[in-house]
Amino acid sequence: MKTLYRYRFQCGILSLLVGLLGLFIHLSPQTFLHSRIYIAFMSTIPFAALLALGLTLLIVAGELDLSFPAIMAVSGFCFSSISQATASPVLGLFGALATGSLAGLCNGLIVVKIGVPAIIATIGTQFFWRGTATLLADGLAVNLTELRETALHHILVGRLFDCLPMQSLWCLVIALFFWMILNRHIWGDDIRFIGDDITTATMMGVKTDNVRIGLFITMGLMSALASVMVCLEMASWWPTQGEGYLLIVFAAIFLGGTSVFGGQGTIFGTITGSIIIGILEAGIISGGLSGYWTRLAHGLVIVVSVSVYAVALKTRRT
Amino acid sequence: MGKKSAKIFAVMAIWLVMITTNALAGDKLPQLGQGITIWFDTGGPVGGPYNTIVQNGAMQAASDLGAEVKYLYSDWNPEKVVENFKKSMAASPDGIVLMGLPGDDPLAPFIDEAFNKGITVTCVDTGLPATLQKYKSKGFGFIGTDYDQMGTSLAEESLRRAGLKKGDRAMIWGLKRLEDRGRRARAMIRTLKEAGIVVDYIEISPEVDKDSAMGTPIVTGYLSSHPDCKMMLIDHGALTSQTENFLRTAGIKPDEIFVGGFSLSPATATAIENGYVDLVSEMQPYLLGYLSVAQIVFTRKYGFTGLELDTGGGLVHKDNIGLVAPLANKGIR
Repeated sequence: MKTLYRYRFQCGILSLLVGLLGLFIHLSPQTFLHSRIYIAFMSTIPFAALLALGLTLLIVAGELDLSFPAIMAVSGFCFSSISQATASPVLGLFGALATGSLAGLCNGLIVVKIGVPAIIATIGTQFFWRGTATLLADGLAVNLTELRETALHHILVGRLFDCLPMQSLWCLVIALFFWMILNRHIWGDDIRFIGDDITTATMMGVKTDNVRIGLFITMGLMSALASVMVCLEMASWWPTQGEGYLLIVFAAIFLGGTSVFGGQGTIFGTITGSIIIGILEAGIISGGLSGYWTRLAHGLVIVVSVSVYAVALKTRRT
Repeated sequence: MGKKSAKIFAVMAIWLVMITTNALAGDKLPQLGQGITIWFDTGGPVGGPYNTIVQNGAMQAASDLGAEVKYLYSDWNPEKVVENFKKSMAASPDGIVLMGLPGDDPLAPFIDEAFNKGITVTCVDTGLPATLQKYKSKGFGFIGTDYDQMGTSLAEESLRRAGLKKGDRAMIWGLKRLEDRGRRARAMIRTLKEAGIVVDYIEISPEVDKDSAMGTPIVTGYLSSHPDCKMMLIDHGALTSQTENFLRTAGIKPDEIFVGGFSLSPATATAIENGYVDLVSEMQPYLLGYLSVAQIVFTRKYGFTGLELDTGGGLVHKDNIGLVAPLANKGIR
C-alpha cells in the first residue's frame, strides 16, 4: 500500500490513459480494437515523446527550452542537404546531431555562462535557428523520397516484422536510458538538486554549470534525432518543421506530473502524457465528433490533471 | 584597289559596323520598373511553402522589370497584414501588394490613406471586392481566384473522375474556421452534399496545420472507423503532400481511395506519380507574385487600371505531372 501511495501520480496518469482508451474503444470499437490505429500511434507519438524526454530533464533542473522546434528545423535541413549532397544519410544523421548539439551548446552557454534566463535566451535562439534554416533552404521544402529504401530509413523508422514502427522501439530504449540516468545515476541526483535549489546544489559540490550545459546539449541532440526521424518518416523536410510540437510537448510533460518549479518529474509520466496527448485527436474523430472538440478535450484533460497535481502537492502560493 | 586602300576600306567598314551596333544597343528598351519601390506582403510565414512561391514570382518580376521589392510576412494572420500595411505606408513606397485576408472593412481606412498619399495598392490571393470597385481605376487590382469557385471546381472534377454515386461516403479535411480561406472547404462540402454524397468533415487542428506529421493517426483512425469512405478531399497543401505517408500507414493501397488536394510541392508530385494523390488544384501562386509587381509598375508608369485576373483552374494529375514536377522542385509550381 505504501509503495502504491509512493507511485500515486504514476497510477493516476496511467488510469487516465486506460480510461481514455476504454472510452475510445466504446465509441469506436472498429478503430480501437484493430492494430492499425496503434501502429499509426507508434509511428507518430515517438517524435513528440523524444522531445518531451529531453525537455523533462531540463525542466526538472529548473530550466526551459523554447527553441527546440527551430533546432529541429535547422538539424533536419542539415540532414536533408548532407544526405542529398553525399548520397549518405548516415553522414546526414551525424551532421544533424552535430548541428543539434551545437545549437544546444549555444543555448547552454547563453543561459549558464552569460546568465540570460532560459525562457528569454531560447526565444531569441529559436528565431535565430528558424531564420538560419529558412535562409539556407531558400524557403523551399526538400523532397527525400529517395531515402525510403536506405538502410538508415529501415533502422530508424522502418517497420519491424512489417508492422512495428522502429521509432517506437528507439523511443522506448531512449526512455529507459533516461529513466536510468534520472533514477539510477548520480547525474539524475544532480539534476534534481539543481532543480530544487541551485545554491544548495553548488554548496554540495555539484558542478551545476556543466550539468545545465549538458542538459541543453542533450535537448539539442534529442531535437536533432526527432527531426531526422520525422524527415525519414515523412520523406521530406519543410521550413516550418517542428512548429506544431511546441505546445503538445509541454502539455505532455506537465500532464505527466513534471513540476514547472523544477526538482520533480518522471520519465514514466512524460511517456504516458505523450501517449495521452497523441491519441486524443484520433480518438475524438474516430468517435464521430468533429475536430472542433479536440482542443476542448486537450484543454480539459490538461487543466484537470495539473489541478489535481497542484492540490496534491500543495503548490498554491499564499 | 591597292593593298593600302583595301586596308583603309576594311578598317572603315569595321568602324561602321561597330558604330551601327552601338547605336542599336543604345536603342534597347529600358527596364520599366527602374526607380519604383514596392513593399510586398507575401501573406504567410518566412519559408511557408505557398507564399515562398508567390515571393519567387515577385522576385522574378522585380528582376525582369528592374523594380526594387521589399518582402514582409504575415503568418496568415489578418492583424499582422494590417500591421504590415501600416509599416509599408510609413516607408512611402510607390506601391504596396497585400493579401486581402482581413477583408474590406478593416483595411479600408488605410487603403484610402495610401491612395491619398499617392501610393498604388493592389491585392493578391484573397480579394477585397469593395476596395476593388472603389479604386480599380487608380490601379487597385486582384490577382488570384475565388476560394468558393476553387473548392467547387475541385469537388466537381473529383466527383467526375472518381465516379462516386449518391449515398457514397467522402471525407473533407479543411480549415472552415478561417473566414475567407474556409470558403473553399465549405464549397466542397456543399458540392458533394448536392450530389448526394455522405460527407464527413474534419477540421485541421493548429498543430496538424503546422506539422503535418501529426495527421497520420487521424487519417488511420477515420479510415478504420469509416471503411466505406471512397474519397478524401484535403484543403491544405502540406497535408496533401503527406497523403502517401498517411495512406501507407493506414494500410491503403495506391488508387484504392480517390484523393484530391491543393497546392503542388515536390512531395505531392511524388504522391501523384505513385498513385496516392489523384488530383491537385493550384492557384498558380507564382503568377500572383509576378503579375502583381508588373501591375504596380504598369500603373505607376502608364496609369493602367487595376487588373482582375483569375489564376485558378490549374489541375495537376497523373497525365501532366511529368511536365510540372521539375517546376515544383524549383519553387515555381
